[in-house]
Amino acid sequence: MTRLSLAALVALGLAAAAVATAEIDTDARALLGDDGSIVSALDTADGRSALLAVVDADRERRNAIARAIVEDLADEPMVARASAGVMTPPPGLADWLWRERFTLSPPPPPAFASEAMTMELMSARAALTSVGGGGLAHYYLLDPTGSFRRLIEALALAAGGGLPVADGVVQSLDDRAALVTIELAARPFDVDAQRALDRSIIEHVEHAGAEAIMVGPRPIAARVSAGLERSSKIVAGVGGGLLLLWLVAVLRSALSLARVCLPLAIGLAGAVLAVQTVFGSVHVVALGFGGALTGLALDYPLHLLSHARTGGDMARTRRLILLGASTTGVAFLSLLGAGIPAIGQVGLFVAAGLSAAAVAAIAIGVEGESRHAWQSPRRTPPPAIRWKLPALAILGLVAGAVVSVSSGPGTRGLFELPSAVTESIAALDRMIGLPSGRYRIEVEASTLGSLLAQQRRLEKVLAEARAAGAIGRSSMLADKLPGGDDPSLPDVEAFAAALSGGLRKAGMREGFGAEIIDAYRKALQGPPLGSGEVAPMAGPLASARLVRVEGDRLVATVSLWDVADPARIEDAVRGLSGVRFIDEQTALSERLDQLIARIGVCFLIGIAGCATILALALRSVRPVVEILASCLAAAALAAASLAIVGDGISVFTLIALALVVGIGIDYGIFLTSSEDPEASAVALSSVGLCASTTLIAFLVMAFFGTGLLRDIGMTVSIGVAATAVASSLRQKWSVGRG
Amino acid sequence: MTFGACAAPSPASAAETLEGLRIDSAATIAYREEVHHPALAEPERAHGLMWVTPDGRLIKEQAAPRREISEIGKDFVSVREFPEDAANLLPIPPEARRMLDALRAVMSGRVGSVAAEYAPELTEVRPLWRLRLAVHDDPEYLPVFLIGCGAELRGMEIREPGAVRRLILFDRQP
Repeated sequence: MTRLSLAALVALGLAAAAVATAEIDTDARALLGDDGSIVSALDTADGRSALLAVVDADRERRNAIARAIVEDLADEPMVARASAGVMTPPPGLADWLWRERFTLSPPPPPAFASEAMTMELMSARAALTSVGGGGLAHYYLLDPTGSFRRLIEALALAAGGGLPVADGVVQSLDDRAALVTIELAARPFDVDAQRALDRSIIEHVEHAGAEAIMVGPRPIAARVSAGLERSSKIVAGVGGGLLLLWLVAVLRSALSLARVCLPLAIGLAGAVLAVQTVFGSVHVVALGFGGALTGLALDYPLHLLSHARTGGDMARTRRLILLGASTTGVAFLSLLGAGIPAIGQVGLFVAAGLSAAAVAAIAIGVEGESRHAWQSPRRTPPPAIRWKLPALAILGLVAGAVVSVSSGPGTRGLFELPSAVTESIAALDRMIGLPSGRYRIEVEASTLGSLLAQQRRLEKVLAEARAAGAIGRSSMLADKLPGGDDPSLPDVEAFAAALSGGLRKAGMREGFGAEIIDAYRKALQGPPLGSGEVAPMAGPLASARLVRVEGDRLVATVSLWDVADPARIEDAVRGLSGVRFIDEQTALSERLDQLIARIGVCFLIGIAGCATILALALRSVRPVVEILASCLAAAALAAASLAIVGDGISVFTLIALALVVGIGIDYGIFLTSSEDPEASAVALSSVGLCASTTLIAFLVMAFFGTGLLRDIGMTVSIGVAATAVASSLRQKWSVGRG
Repeated sequence: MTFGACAAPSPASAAETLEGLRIDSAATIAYREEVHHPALAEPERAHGLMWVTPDGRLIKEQAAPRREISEIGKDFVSVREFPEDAANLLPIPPEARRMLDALRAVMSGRVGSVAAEYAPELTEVRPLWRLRLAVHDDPEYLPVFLIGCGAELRGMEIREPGAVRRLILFDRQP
């Protein structure tokens, strides 16, 4: 009782410390590291963009709702900008465009003819009395080549993105929705904050009587996370309840129940504190997933209780518990080498949690627990068999073959999109014709001039692909800008000669010619537009999906629609310098393959470590071979089952397979190291009790969870059942055990 | 372009000038406009009608030199050009926003809003008064001048980037 009270105090103290110090991190970058192109995409301009469709048949009403939303969002700190119409140009854009006009809109040779320049100056004069051109007319007067005017007109034309505008509000193509573009502030992605913002926007629209469709990388990521959280709560509630009922039914004692639960509580709190200390925060994935894996900690007090109630050797049981916890801990600690912060945290969480729980279970002990007649091992353990290892080898090979011919692990994403999200995307696609989310082309160059030249070459290639039916259409910066292939401009003297006389004909003072020539000279002498020169406008250009700055390079995305023959497009652009065809799905698969391979290597190293510890502790190689063969074959069987009836292997189901191995080692230690039939029967009873609790928890996950949780539940359930059966069968060695 | 003679007493302060203004925001106003620029030997001239819609949009229907109907809202200007009858919706650049806001506020008779958002300063009192509207928090921003006589607003002078001076004379009082 004293030990139990002390343990309860320790558990409370650790829990209080964990609650007080733990900083829960939901930053998705931790899942794939800072260089993870998948999740860190949430921190790009594209990742922070979102689109809201306010669907209502009454155009006036939906426009009013859209405007009201934009006004509301003006004071929202999570939103950088929101607009229901064409985005207002940022301050300084006109001056920047003026300085860079010859790069963005090089005048064609005919623009330098004397008559053309006179006509242009007369147009510039007329613009002074036009509301549309008045604000920029002084620039027009300084540029008789018309470069700047054509640039402004082209950008104004492109600003609507090809969508209709009514009363200043952008409309869907089917005239059913008003569109609001939202640019989220450059803050780390936070699931709860994002969900709160999304909910408030959607409720605002629905309260006004319209339907809201909101999509964007961050809102979608937040919805996926929220769905996972909802599913986790159901699983935790149902699983926890059933587990408690089962333990009450089996243990039939409140003190015994406390002996089982306190080590788990100490393990969880200790794990949180360990991760917080080492990483500075606890990622939500480590907390949720690591917490579920640490449920294995229930096994340690159950082993002790079971052995106590069945008259087992307690000293040996304690030794085996420490051995099991240390081997599983070593296997999970290897995840620290995966290089992925959240996955590394899962490894540390499980290792620290299991170690703390094992020590706590031993420290609490089983004082007062007496032999229970009803729990006495009545069954004689099955006899040792010769064919165990060959059978496991064959099972492993067959399961491995099934996994290898099934779809690769990388074909699955980290998370599945809920059907509501895919329906929203499809609805928006019907309304505005979204570009392909899978295929795009990226053009990279050191200066904006060379980037535009590359895009113009690409335009020709894509025109051929379009003619051949390989693609519907494309959109890029170059096709929004005026100008041709010949950027050669006359020198200042030739320009001045062509200008002379034109000013008088246009009704302008001759003296103004000096200012025009000076402006022309400055434009000619401007340095090539590199990343430094583009940087001041990088934000607006990137949010319009035109150009972004990456280090000292400029990168522009070419959006594609209706890609029918990606292989042909990939082939066609291969020869173009600085041009890359990107298949997001393939890139994602490759990235996940690499991630899974890294985690796999870490586990292999971990298993090698386990084998070494086991061999040293058991002082024999044969039981180590038997233990590892059982749990590895069980893991292979679980993987094959997942490949056949599940959705394939993902990062998380791979870690669940590692748990199967960890549990298998734990069971194997007890069953394989029992020397006599009575000890074997006691161990069998103990493992049976542990397996039953594990199966309850993970079967609930398999039946009540969705997507990812269902797969994890199925993996562990099949694996635990298989490893329990495999471990209970003993190998009959032909020669004496060594 | 002259804004006419004035026999009314000179105002004592900017506040008194603004408070005394009588503007009928429902009226359709005939205007003449002159745009001066250092490059031009002669200013560009235009004329037409202006009015404010009940929802606060300023409509400027220019009759000459080229017919053009503009609708100036808070964030956008919709411009319809003739004879092509081509319509275009343009976002108002930040550089022009305050000037157009001031124009809309004055034409809408929202004198209180003008006094709150700008720093009115009486720069001339005789024969016509000139009220300089500078932006409170942006000293670099080019000012707008209101020109009037007694309670009448006779016109406006708007300074724009590039040394552009835009004079607007109201032929009928707003």
